[in-house]
Amino acid sequence: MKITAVIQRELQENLRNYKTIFLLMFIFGGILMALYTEVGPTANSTSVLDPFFELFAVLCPLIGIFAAMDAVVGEKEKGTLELVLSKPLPRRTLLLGKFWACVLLIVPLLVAELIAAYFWAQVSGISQYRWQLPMPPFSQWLTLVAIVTCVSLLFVALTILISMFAPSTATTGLCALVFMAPAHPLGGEFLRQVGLLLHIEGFGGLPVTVKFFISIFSKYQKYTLTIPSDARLCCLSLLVMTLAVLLIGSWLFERQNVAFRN
Amino acid sequence: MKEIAVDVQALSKWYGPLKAVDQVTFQVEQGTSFGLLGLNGAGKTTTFKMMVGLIRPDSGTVLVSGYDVVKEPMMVRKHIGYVAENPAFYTRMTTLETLRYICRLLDVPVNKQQVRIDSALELVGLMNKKNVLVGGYSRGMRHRLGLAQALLSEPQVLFLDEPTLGLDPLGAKNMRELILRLRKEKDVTVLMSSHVLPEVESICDVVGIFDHGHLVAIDTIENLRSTSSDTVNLEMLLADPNEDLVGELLNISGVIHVERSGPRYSIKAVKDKELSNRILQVVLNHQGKIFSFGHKESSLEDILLRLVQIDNSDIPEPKQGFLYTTISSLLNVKNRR
Repeated sequence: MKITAVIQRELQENLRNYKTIFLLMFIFGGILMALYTEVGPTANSTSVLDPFFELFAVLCPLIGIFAAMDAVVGEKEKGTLELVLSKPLPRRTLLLGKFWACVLLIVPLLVAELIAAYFWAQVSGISQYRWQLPMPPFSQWLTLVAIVTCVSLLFVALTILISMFAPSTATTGLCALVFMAPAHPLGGEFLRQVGLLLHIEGFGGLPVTVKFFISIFSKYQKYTLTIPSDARLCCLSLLVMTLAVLLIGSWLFERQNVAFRN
Repeated sequence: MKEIAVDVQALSKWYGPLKAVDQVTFQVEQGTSFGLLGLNGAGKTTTFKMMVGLIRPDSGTVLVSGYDVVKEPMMVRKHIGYVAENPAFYTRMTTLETLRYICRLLDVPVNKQQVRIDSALELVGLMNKKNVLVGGYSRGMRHRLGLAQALLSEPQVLFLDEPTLGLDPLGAKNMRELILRLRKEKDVTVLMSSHVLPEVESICDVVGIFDHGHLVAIDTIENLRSTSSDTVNLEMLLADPNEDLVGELLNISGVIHVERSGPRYSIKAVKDKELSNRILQVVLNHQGKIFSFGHKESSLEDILLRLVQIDNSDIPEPKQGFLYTTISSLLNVKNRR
């Protein structure tokens, strides 16, 4: 299958250009930052889940952006897109191959490192020692892992879409950063203001369709960490949005008049 | 009657207000070597990329080996080989990995991949570089690898965009020989665009000359030579040259221009069957001893320059960025107020 050829080549490239090592170190650095710096829980925190989530809500979009920022535009810059597109390879296959390569790069790293971090925190007793707070139940920790992984994947899809139109890899990265607003405290503030305007208190009573769309806000994601049904909906919403972005991207890429490097 | 390998009908492409290719129509027979010629911006590369399916035409059709480039792009790409102007490859992959990847994209059966790769590498002379990273390749080697990857599909039609661009004379000569060898051994139809006119002369049977998006001429080089002008160039070498003869030659009816450089006389005259006899008569009357006398063939360069219009009138204004145009339009509004 051609998609496996694309995935294999992408993974090989990621290994050889040290992107895998860099991402591994980036996630590891994030975990260290959460555990051993002053980025601790606030007075309202009930467990160390809160500070961990807040840090990874920002780091995970960055991981997605970094993994995918050279997806299409990088090939244009190197001139290899012309080579690949002159072969009987459907453009959507190329795009999906690139997405799956990012999935295979990010998901194992994130899941393995975050689960390892949980057990390390348990064994070392760092949460009790530093903040006098217990570690959350493992199920809640897995919810955190699932949500941040889904956020990363959404950003991979978004960045691939942007990289089809951006003139350079750097521009792709910068444009994708704009979409991080919902993960920023500003996004949370936006939700709060809308809530005040519409006289809505909390996320509990919101209809499913609204919950679907506000799943991109880290404030809502954080709320779902302790409510399994909402967490499942949040992950599903993020995955559906990822799929939608990919489908839109594939459709546009098939019709795009690519400006090849001369 | 030979089969038609490439059939281009009323092909057009716009880039904003600029018509890059305008109603271009031509056919290339199977086994022919076809050259696309023209000045920069004439529409050669755009036509080329539309034929390969890399750019979508605004109107018109292209059939390659009977398949429509727009409707059946995958079938077209399966039956062609394409070498870009600057062949680029994944620099962190070896030659073998690159070609295996291309084989997989081409759906070459696994048991045939190695045979095809070896045969292509043998032909382009990169057999001993199988395990070398492509990032370390010179430009000439990249061109050869470009040709090797194009051969993996066992193409019926080979598209070569400026195949010797940027190569040193030896590299260019090797590439030329390679293409000729390929034509001879594999009987593929070759379509190439090039600025190097002697190269086109040595490889192509038929040339199409592009000018401002139009195909202004299409014929064999021989026919273009004989039909593209009403004048003829003659060259004469004399043992005892003298300046007086120039004046006498100019008096012959039909002679337009005479230029002497040492013993060599270059004569430009209108086409006339009797002209050579009249010139020889004048020279003999002048007691001249003739070493050689004959037609000087017009070069492809002469033909090209005669057929294309050289003007800069429709070169588009440089495109300004969104921010620039917005600010300048705002400033204009302000000035008008």
